Amino acid sequence: MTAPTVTQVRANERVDFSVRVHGSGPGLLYLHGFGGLACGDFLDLLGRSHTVYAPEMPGVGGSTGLDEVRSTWELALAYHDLLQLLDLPEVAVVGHSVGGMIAAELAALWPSSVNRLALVSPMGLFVESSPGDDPFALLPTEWCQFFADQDSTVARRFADPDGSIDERVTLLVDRATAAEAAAKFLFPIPDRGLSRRLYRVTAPTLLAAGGLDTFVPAGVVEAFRSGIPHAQVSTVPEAGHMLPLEEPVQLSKILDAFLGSVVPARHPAAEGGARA
Amino acid sequence: MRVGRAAVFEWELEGVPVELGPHGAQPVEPVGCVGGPQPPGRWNPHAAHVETRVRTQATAAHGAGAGVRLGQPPRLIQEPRPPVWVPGGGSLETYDFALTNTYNYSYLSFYGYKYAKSVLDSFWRRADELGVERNPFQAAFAQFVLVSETDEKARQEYEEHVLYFYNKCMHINPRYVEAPGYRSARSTRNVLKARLEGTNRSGRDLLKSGFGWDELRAAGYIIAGSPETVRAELEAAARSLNVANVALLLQVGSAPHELTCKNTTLFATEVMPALREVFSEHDSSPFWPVTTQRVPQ
Repeated sequence: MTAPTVTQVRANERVDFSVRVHGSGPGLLYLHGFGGLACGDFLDLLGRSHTVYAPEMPGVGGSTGLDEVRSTWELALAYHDLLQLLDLPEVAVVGHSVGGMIAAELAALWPSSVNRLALVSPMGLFVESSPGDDPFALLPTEWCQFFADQDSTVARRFADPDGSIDERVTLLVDRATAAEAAAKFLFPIPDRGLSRRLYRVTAPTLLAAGGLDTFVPAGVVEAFRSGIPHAQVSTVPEAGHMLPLEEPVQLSKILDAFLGSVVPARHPAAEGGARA
Repeated sequence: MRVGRAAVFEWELEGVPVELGPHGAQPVEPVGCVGGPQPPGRWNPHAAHVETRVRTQATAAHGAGAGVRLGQPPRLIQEPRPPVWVPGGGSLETYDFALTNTYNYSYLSFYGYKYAKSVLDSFWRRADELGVERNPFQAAFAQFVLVSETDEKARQEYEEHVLYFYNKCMHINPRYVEAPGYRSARSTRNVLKARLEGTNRSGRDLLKSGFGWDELRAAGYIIAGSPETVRAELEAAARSLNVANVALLLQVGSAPHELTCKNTTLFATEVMPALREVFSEHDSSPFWPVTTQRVPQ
């Protein structure tokens, strides 16, 4: 397997993205969640069938501009600018956690730019009857709570990475800055109006969820499903919030099946009325 | 050496109350911190808060934190501007903010002068890098100081109240300190590296290791004893930190009013006079209001 490459892209006057590129095939945009891009083999698995473009969020790793991005709208705009610069006018988008919220914003604001949308444990909707746990109330030492099996090696290593001191510091700083970036757009109530825009999504949409995810509980997944025309749900029963790390093989198979399936017609109502 | 009241920094300048404190960017106000630290050169909420209070426009920035910006930074009307004291917890950006603006940097913890050393040594190293003179009046530290007639009597009188404080009153939820975005990536890296290298154990962790009176004294959390003992240790502490301002903590835990009055009186009469000339070769004027620089006879 080819080693990933990293490229720096200045999306606009505010945001510089560090973009990791994995694999080969049709283009796919991957938007990370908590923990940044340190998601084990998952991106390599996705890269077996796609050229995966994985930008770090502004303020995380090599990406800059978090202070300058003032709203969810400006955040989505930066990612859309990035797509233009990567020459990806129409692309499949996979987003995990806060990345799922950004992916959904992209698909709602520019429906014609997103041909497939996969939201993995997406945040961005607040359901009063099913609010979910607060990710920002966790101490870094408690980040294993994102996982269904908190005693698993992957969960423990997420909160307390191994390696040299410099490697551990880099990973922990990336995780801390990813939490900071997410907080800017999710704290305290993860609702920036996405529910009012979801009707504009025309891309075939998959919702992948962990059956034991307490941060994106079933009520939130259902709100996404009912808000996006023709969205389908695939649940991994024994997984928590960190599907890319907990179940990378199963998740990549679910995504491959969805991304490689025959493209159904876009949602007709949105097709006619919601082109950006 | 200057001795100020701990906990409340409030001075009276020409009839205008100036309250200097970490209102806008405290860790207990995580809402204000989301979005990360402001880049260099931008209006800083620390100073803006202070300056706004100077103008008595208390409502404009009160509680605003870093998450709210005013259209125009408030401007100072006093000439010369009053001194500004900035509390910090070791963030690299706050060092620079204080040093480049000629503000006092105050490391105010309940863990005493030995624990403060790593933070304040780093502060002075940064001063060297920026070419700023190591003026001891540009920094402050907080210190429990407990004075009695003898060392043994100090223990008899204060031990119960000291242990009450450290065992009962220090339950600050760490989530307030580690809220996402409270520290910049640069400062987070700095803190994590020191922690993983074992060079910076948290004061909280040290307390968990079962500190009693002797350990608290040995670790510098408290300076306690006879006036002679306290004078010597406090001067040595100040000199070891190169810090001329002590934010005194003279009331501790469950100590009653009478004992606190005794402590305050003993300190003022038996300790403080002997320390007045410490660091007197340095200029305190950039960091103290002119009207408070007259030494009472």
